[in-house]
Amino acid sequence: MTALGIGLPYFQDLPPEIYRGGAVDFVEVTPEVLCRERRGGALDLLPDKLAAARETCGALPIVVHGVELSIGSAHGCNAAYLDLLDRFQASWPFLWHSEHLGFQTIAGGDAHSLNTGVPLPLPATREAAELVADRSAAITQRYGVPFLLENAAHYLPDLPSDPEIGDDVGLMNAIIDRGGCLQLLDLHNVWCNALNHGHDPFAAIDRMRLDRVAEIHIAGGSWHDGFWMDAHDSRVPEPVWDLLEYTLPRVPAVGGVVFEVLEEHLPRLGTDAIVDELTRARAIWQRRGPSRCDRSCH
Amino acid sequence: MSLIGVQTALGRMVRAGEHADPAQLADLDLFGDERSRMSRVLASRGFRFTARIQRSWCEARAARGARLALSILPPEQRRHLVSEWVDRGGGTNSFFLAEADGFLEFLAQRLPDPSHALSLCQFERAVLRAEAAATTSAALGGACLDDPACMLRSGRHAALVSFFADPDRLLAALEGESALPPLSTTQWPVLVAPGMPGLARPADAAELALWQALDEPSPVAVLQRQGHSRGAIESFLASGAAEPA
Repeated sequence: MTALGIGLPYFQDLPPEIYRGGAVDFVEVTPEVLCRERRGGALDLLPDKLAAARETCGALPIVVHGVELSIGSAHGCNAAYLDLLDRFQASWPFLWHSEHLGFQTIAGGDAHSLNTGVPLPLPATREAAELVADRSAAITQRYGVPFLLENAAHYLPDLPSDPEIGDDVGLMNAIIDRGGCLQLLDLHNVWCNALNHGHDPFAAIDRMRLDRVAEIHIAGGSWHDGFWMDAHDSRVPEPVWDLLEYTLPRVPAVGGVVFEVLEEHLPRLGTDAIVDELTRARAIWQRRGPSRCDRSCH
Repeated sequence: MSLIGVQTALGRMVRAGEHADPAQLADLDLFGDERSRMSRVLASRGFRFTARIQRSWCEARAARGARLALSILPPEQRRHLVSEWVDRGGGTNSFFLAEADGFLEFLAQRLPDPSHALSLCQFERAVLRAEAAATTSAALGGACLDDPACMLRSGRHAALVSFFADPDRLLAALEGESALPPLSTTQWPVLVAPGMPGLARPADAAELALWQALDEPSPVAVLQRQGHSRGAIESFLASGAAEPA
């Protein structure tokens, strides 16, 4: 994996200077925000939105972070998303792409899918691991670039599981062990789950296949109804920075760190805060990341 | 426990939200201990929180898609309509246009006819459809004008919306500049089409007549015999207000 550095998602409403001022080494693009859905579910890339995104990103390398694949849906994942990604890759090649480990559609009547309206976690079972691993391998082959799965935040206790898989960390490991994909390690999600389910986030990280982590996400959240929510509505909490410090030296294949925030929270957060988070991430990357290891470990 | 069983149970219950009832899982092929386990998950604080997130996201998606139409309604009616849409499974589509189109169609069936709210709802939907078409399709059919037998119809991405007050006055009132104008017996027709500058403008009497004539596919020669000018037909074709049938 090429070590790119610090990344930011593409936001059409953010001043383009943020992407061009040296704070960003690569851009994470979500193709779904550049398209519209036709009746019947097909997704059309919108040429004007695509052109605007390319203009903003300039010569920066891009990676893709999808949100609509629903890779874990037992009745079938979203083929329209893959068709969209085919067209997106043909017009704007990316270095790698990622999706969330979970599902957001279930089988409805008349062979239609029903959206759940919110992403949901998979049970930690062998069946889920095999299904996602097989689909991941096919996706890796289809696009010819690495495919990453992101560990999810969720609030559901005691989901069904098989003893040999155990929990959501075990599920991700079981999928990755089958060889079809790499991991996008979302440290905010790790911290979120640790807070809400009462476990140690560092121990969770120690159990992961860190040699297969290719990208890291950091983000912020907020308390709602007694849960720490993966809301992407704030700056990165200190414990997540601590997790980044801890994790970076342990992930030799990591390609970059991306600061995630939801577009609707950008005006309140402000561009100065975003640049601050990117700057802090870069400082940690330079001290603890693979470039540091390249100089001192060989 | 099968993956499809877990997902169907979770998905159905999250969609049902506060109306979730484990009895709705009776048709699923679950063993007794599996059913008890899912019941425990569904009774948990974490599940209720997940369902609240889902509800809030769905309501926000719906409201985002109908800002104009909802803005004229009293807050209680607004909440009721959004809530009813979400109760019926709406608000789950993360694609703005698809979600907005479905919700505006739902709203249109529930608003009094005639009413300012219904006019705004139809106008908002027409503009969204025209805007989407403007980015992906080009106007068609210019050559049709020279073929008298060529059949024309109203554009698929165009609409004619009737207002029952001057639309400018109505929109100004919504921005808080004045009181809402009364519902008039006079109609102000507004033509919306993907190729039109600004996507919409008031339709004059000749355009209203041409739009009505295009309700059924008609040959160019017949339209011209009815008195519709070549220039008017050409303008309709160029803007996407008309297209070859």
